[in-house]
Amino acid sequence: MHSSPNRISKKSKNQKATSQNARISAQHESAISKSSNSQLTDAIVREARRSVLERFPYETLTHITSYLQPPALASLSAVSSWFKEYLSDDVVWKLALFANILGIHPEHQKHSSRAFLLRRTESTWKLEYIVRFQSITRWNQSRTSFTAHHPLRIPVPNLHLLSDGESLLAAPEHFSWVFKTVPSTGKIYKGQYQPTLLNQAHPLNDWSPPTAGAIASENNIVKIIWASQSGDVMVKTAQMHNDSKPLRRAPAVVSSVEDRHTGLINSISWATTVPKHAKSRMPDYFITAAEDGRVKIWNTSCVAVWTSPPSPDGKSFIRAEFDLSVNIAVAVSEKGTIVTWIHPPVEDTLGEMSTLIANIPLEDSNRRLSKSTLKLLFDPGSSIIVHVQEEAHAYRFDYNLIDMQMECSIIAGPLGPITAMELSTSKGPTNDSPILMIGDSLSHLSIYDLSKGTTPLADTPSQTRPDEPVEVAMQKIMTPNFSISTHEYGAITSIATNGLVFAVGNEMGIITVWDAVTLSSVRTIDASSLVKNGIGVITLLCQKEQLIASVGNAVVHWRTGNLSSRFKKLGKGTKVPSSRGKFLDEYQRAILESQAELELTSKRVPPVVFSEQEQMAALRALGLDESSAVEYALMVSHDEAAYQGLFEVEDSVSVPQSPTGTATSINTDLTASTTPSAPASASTHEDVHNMPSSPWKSRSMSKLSPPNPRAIGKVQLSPPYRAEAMGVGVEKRSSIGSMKTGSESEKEELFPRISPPNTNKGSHSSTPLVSGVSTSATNPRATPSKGPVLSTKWSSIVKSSTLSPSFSGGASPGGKGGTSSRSWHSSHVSGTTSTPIQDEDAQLQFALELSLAEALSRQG
Amino acid sequence: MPVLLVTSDNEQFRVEKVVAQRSVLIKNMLEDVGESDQPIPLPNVTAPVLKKVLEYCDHHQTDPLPTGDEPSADESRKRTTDISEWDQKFITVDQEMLFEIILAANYLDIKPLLDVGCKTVANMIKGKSPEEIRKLFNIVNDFTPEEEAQIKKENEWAEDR
Repeated sequence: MHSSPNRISKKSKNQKATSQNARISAQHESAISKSSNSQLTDAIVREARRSVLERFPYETLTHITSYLQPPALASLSAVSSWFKEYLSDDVVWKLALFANILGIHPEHQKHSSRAFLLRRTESTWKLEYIVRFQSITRWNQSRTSFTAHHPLRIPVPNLHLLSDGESLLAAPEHFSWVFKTVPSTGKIYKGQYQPTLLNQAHPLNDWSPPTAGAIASENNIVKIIWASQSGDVMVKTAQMHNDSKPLRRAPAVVSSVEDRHTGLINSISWATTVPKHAKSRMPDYFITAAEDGRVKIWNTSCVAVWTSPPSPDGKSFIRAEFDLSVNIAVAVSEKGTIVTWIHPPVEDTLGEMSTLIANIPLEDSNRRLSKSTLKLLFDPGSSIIVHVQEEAHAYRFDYNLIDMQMECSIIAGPLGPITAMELSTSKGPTNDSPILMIGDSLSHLSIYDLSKGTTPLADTPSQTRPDEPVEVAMQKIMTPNFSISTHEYGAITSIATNGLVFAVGNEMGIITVWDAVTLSSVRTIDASSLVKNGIGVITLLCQKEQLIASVGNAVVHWRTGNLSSRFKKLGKGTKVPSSRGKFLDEYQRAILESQAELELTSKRVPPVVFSEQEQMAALRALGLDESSAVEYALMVSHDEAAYQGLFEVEDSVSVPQSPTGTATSINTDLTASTTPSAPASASTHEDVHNMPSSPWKSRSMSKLSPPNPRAIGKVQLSPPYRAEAMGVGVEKRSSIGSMKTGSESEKEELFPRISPPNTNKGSHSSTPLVSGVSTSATNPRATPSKGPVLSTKWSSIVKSSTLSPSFSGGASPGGKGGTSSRSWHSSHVSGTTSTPIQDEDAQLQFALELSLAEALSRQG
Repeated sequence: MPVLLVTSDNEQFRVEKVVAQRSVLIKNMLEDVGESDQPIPLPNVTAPVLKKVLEYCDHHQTDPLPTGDEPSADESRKRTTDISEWDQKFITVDQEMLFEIILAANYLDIKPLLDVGCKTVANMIKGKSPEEIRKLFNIVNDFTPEEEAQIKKENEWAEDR
């Protein structure tokens, strides 16, 4: 019974129309035999009643289902037992996956150029298809926003995610301290790991700073290795429980005097193993490359188990990598010599060690490389990828273990200079070929199938040097399989992949996420507000469904979340949740809705900022400064008010309460207080600070204010963290706040926006007010005849008020709303003498009111 | 030169060669037989269906024949969702006719028509609950309540999209 679709599927699809009838009947028989085995008449009756869908020949049905995505296939499997059986065949899912993800036509094509991009993570095609579909949908549609925290006030390029998937160890470039943080909440644990022995309070001179470091972990055990300036290595082993802070008293081992390098250690790294061979995540060995021209492999007791012969060119080694599963060590000297030791006697002494030597064909043969200018990727399977900063090409060195040769080929990079490289090796159950990704300074990303052979390059003289021990013929070139443009501009600085998606970070702080197979964009995370001193995304980690990036001085965390349609479905009543569940459900829906609203509003807000800048530019073009513009605006609106009749209050005040008006102000408030990503670019603009737009200003001020030195070890959230659970509070508060603003402004009809002391206490404000003023300043409808008379009177008020430094804050009430308005009042009193104060006050309010209304109606 | 096609119900259709050649099956037959006015028997196709299929071939007679080349990623993705306006109108027929057209397209080897037909059926399934699919295609639910509950549990993930 179970075998019926399988049996059919085994038939070759190439048998076309000729065998079709036979197949149909075979299929029908099996379907019929399921219900009744004996009676043929019964079968015929059933046959006639069978649905159109069930009567399709197998290959046509697979053709149809190949156009379906997992949810539809799941629905189909729940239709009847016949379909359940049909969909229990993994081939059906495989064809659907191929058609939808690889673009392979269900009947015509058998191959796809993108096939190598598909890394299998699951054992069956059904699971593979479902997991991919869900994951990509979540990456694409999650409404979560990122969180950021600052473990240190300097960049932390070294990130290591612990196996709980939550805690992160972060270290600066020089590895002097290793901090433990929880990126999803921004919690930074007090204390840090330093290269100290037991009972030492501070690292000794040789160890401050260390020259290099690396972290490895398994479950609760963390091992950190450091290299000292004097050639020593240290291993610190720490027990790490979910909620424990880094302990200074973690046991540490240091290398003995006999074992140590006789020069500064340039690089230290853990041995790698091919994941499927790995017994554990915790490596048993690490490798160092030092100025004494030697490479050493150490065990975790800091005993040098193998020391290399001196480097062939007599220069120091700057990088070394070691893979235990293939037992190959690779090192690069500062002259660009690549030495590969095959089977160094580390664990088994059986195989004889052999050495392969090749040279990176540097453009300037006198150039000295350093660990910061050299990028080295080691694919234990067969090759070494190197790129030297400022060199036009990257090179691929394939080692051939049969005839013991190294073959060098040029990697044709993307358009611009290469700025980032990443290797993705197989992690799944199948032996997928390694993929190389190269990013350039023009935001292009090229993807290479490393298993694919290189094509011979015609007419290229072999660039060999006479002193080379092994001749490396340069005659092959590797071209990208795919190239995509990840962003409009900005050099790509880091690349990471989890098999399903890959993430690309650039110097502008923008992280773009791409479907690893279809190469379509699934998400963009804009962390450009965190870029410091031109340092954008330094490191990216992409693990499961979270993304951790080191941007500027901050560490950014983003994770996929639940999707909204689930709750919509529940709402339809497919499932009746319990009373408590229902309550929660309602809450979650409210959160999602407000998040959706936020996202919408955040999209709409930037134009406001832009129009403001535009207006400022227009003002500058007119040769007006801000205060004179305000003055002019007041004048004009006063003019208009006088024209309309001074006390038609109802008519004029109703304008700012027009839907567009209130909507805009609420939007601004919401975004200013809760959306972290929306105005990300705003704080980078210097202009913002000159403008009296307090939401932006207060935000950027808070960000720019010098961090409290003691703040290390405390939670620093910028932008504010908004997790699912906490979101309730944040959202509710903000929406209530904005509602209040609206309702109170209705109550105080005369002073809806301007009177700050009792309404928007210290947080909310309206950007459009200022833009409104400046808009009406350029209003050509001004009547110049009345102008001069009024302007003297009004300018005295305004000028005196602009003298008080907090005027701009008062105009759009920011944190100092109360005080600034008081100063405004006092200056106003001093500035006017002729009219009664109450009248004048009302007029001024009224004038501002009008100009605001005008501006709002324009924006609407 | 026109070609004579004979359906299973013995109806004759005289069509232009260029139209008939949209069918790879007929094209190959013509190539094998060479110039001849022998009628071509199509025992698997009835007259109403062939009429409909020829309507399609007539409208698409100038299309480039599908090649074995691999389309770009964009094209293939587009292909999985889109049906051109004319095709959509053409394929708006009752289920039985749709079924017959797909079978005929398969038999006559007219790949674009087969694609359109299969896509149309796929679009009918998309976004529907099992109950809706049963109703649409007149399928009997032969699951026991226990089985149904079990399947629902297995497919819970599909709700989360």
